[in-house]
Amino acid sequence: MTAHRVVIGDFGAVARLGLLDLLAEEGLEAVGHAESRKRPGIIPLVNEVRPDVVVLDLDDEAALEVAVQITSEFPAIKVVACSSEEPVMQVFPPFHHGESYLSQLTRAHLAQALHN
Amino acid sequence: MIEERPVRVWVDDQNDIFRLGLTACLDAPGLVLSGESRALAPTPDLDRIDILVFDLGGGRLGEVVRLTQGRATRLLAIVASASDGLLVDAVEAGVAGALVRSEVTPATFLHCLRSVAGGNGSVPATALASLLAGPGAGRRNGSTGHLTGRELDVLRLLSQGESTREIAVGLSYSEKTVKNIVHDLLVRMNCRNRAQAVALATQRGLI
Repeated sequence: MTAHRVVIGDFGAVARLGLLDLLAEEGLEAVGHAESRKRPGIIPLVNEVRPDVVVLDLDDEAALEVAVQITSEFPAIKVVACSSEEPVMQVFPPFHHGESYLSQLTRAHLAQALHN
Repeated sequence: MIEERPVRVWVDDQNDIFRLGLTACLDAPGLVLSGESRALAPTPDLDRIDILVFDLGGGRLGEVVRLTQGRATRLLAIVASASDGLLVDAVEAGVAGALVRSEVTPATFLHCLRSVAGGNGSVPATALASLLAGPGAGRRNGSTGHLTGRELDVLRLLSQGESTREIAVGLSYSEKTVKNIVHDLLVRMNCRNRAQAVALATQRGLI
């Protein structure tokens, strides 16, 4: 099995560093991240690199809309929207047509969500 | 030359990703991570901590102040916004440094840690006005004294009925920045919502 390829959305610098650290420790490959202030760019980015997982910033009010757009245009991609304030994340499993569930955000839970 | 002991830092934050990012920053000269916790569990070992970094939004200011009372441990708070009224309380309670969660970078975090370790304070420049004005400043009803140019720009667009996203596009800011500006505006003007802020600004002839 090849390592999952992950695209990271527009996060604050420290949260992004934390995510990159986690990906590295978990042997996951970061294949791109959205430039801040250019968030509409994430869909073309996803289209270009076709990752297995996209991690979005749940604190961004457009995150859920973007998540649904990604899962409907690219059904095989999983989207995980993480808050960097509250310990909470919202997971959009692949092939679930935008359905999602909220989960407690811990390092272990996130790692599990990224791997499966 | 005297070999200086590294500054021992403990990081408390309930968000694992953000905390992981902060602890990753501590891989820097003169600093060492002495431990980490989520909502003060496990309890920080204050005998081995020079600086305690904690989340001011977690409602634990009192607990943190009690824990560190009579100790040399210095406090660095992570705040949701520079105009957070809690920041005034925190500084009054002895917090030496503060950083805004959505704006902090590895460089500003390290800079703030080193200032605090050196016995200086370090707070966001945007928070200075309300801090210098003393307790209760900026919380007075309907004050519109010190709005910045970009706050006025945002107010003007709000008054035209534009959404956060439209304002972000119009001013080439991220939506997050616009939301921060609006939040700062509301706190500074002591308004409950955008409509009240627009009404007050119009009434005072600001926009």
